[in-house]
Amino acid sequence: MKIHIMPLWNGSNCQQNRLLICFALTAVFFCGSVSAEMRIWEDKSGISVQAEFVRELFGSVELKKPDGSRYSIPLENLSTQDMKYLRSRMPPEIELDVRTQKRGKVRNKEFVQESDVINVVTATVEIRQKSSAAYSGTLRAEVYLIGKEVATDDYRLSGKGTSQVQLTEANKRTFTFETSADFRVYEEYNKLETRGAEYDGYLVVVFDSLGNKLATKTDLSWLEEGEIDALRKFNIDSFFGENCRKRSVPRPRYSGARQEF
Amino acid sequence: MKRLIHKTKGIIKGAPTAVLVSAGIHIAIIMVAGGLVVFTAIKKSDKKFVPPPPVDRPKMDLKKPRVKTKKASKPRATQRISSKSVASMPDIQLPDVSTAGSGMGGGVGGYELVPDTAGMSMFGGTKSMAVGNDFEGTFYSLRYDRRGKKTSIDDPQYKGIIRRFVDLDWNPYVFSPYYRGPQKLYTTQIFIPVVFSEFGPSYFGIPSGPDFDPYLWCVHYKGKIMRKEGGKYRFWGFGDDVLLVRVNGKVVLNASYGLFRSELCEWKRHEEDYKYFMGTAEAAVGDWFELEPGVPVEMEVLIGEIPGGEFCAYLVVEDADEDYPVNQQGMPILPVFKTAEIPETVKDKIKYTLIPGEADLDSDLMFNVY
Repeated sequence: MKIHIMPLWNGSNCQQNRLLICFALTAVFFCGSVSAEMRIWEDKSGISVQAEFVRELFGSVELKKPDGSRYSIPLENLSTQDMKYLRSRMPPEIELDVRTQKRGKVRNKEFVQESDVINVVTATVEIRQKSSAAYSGTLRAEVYLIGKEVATDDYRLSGKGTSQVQLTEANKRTFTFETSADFRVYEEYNKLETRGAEYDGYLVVVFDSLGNKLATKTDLSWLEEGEIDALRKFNIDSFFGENCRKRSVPRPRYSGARQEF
Repeated sequence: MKRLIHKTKGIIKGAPTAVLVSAGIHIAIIMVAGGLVVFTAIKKSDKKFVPPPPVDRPKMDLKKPRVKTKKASKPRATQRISSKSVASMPDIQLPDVSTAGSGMGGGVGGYELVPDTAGMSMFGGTKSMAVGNDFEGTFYSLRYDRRGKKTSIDDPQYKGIIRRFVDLDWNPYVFSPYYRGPQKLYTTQIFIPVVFSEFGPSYFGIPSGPDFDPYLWCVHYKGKIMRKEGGKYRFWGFGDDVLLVRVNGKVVLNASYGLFRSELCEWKRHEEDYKYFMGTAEAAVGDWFELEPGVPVEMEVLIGEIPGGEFCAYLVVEDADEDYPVNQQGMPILPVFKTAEIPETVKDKIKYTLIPGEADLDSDLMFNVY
């Protein structure tokens, strides 16, 4: 697993000079992301062998027989069925590009107080295939938009989106989708505190068709890689700390001052 | 004589042939008759084992599942939809509601096996989560007519329409000239702490934005309640601006905003009224009502917003046989009115705007019919 420190980010008008941390689970295309599975392989001449996939290297597939011996077949000699199997099981090498945009929500001003502001943050995720070999499987991409409560030190999962990703010739092996979430900050009715969440950052995770994590990208400096799975389990509007442990919902404060209005 | 004797002899001589002919005929008759008897016997036995015509069987097979499916999949609440005159109102085409923050949008591959409660709001969800125990909520905006054009209704007229609704036996026909929300919601609790009034309409499928005035609206919830053991109960609550509850055809709580509470419905003030804060103003206390053990009764709730701004509808219930802890103000912390456990995601949304001690979200007291 490799962690890239990305250059300073200028992608959003609200988040300037934020350090991007990219956990690139860049899967080495041939290093056994395909789960080892004993099966019958066959070449075009009809010769078959029981073996498990080891790797694809320099245009050949290396297989391991049950007795431990290695066997190599040039890709062009593989049967059509085996080629299909390889292309649907072997995850592609991908690149993730995430852009966020924040805009104020247009509301009916006649009924909204000035202190009540909703920003809509839209994350545009672009997934590009880097490797040249065709991949016929379907990837799954998940996007999480996280806010930070203004009245407490809680984080809040404000938006969650998912998309099935197919990288084909038709889309030039590039897939783009968007996820949005509202971030509202307002004066609470108890007139004692300003509450709500400001946008803090995003997390994008991409999985291959077998459910293996293929790539991860975030701009949340406090998010550790080992906590990503915990974050993914939260429902929208869940609250949590920097360690991604769930916290109880922050409540409005009570005060006797309420008696006055 | 001789001749005679001869004749007789002759006759006697020919006897075996006649006997043989006769015997042959008899044997033939017996064989034919025997054959007939055997044939008939076989024929009879064939008839005996003819299976009953199969036509009726599929009918029997089909009937059962049909009945079961109907029971299991169709919530009773749907069968109690308000009135036919309202159902004939034309639905107005509106743009899609923003999907912002609406869960795992995009509907991916069906790997979520548990019911998705993430999209449920405090006003309810678009699908039934507790079949048969739901309250069905219908949204009306009196600010707009049924075609979506603005009306000239003002605050006093709105109150008059609500009054007419109450006086006409809670007949939703009263709202038929006005805009009805495109989406009905289903809920098992009536408890909406303070939220901004624009969010109410948006949950019913109306996009919030500069083009919609989020005031002069109301929601009519209708369902059934029951207690297996029966009991005596009364509601407490507060509605900013409208909260009316009727059980079994009788209004048992008018917890609407104090300034115009009496304008919406005849109401006798209780001693405990206006003593404790709930949400943005003082709570009202309802009339006691009794439930027969195991007998479901109809219950309706009307909530509404008049001028726009903050909105809330707190509805809690007191059991006459229970003692309750009290909060900072000395008000009993009463259970939220519900007919099923409140989903955790909804509970979290309620907690975010509910001051601790104003209601009990976790009580066992439920008014479920099933």
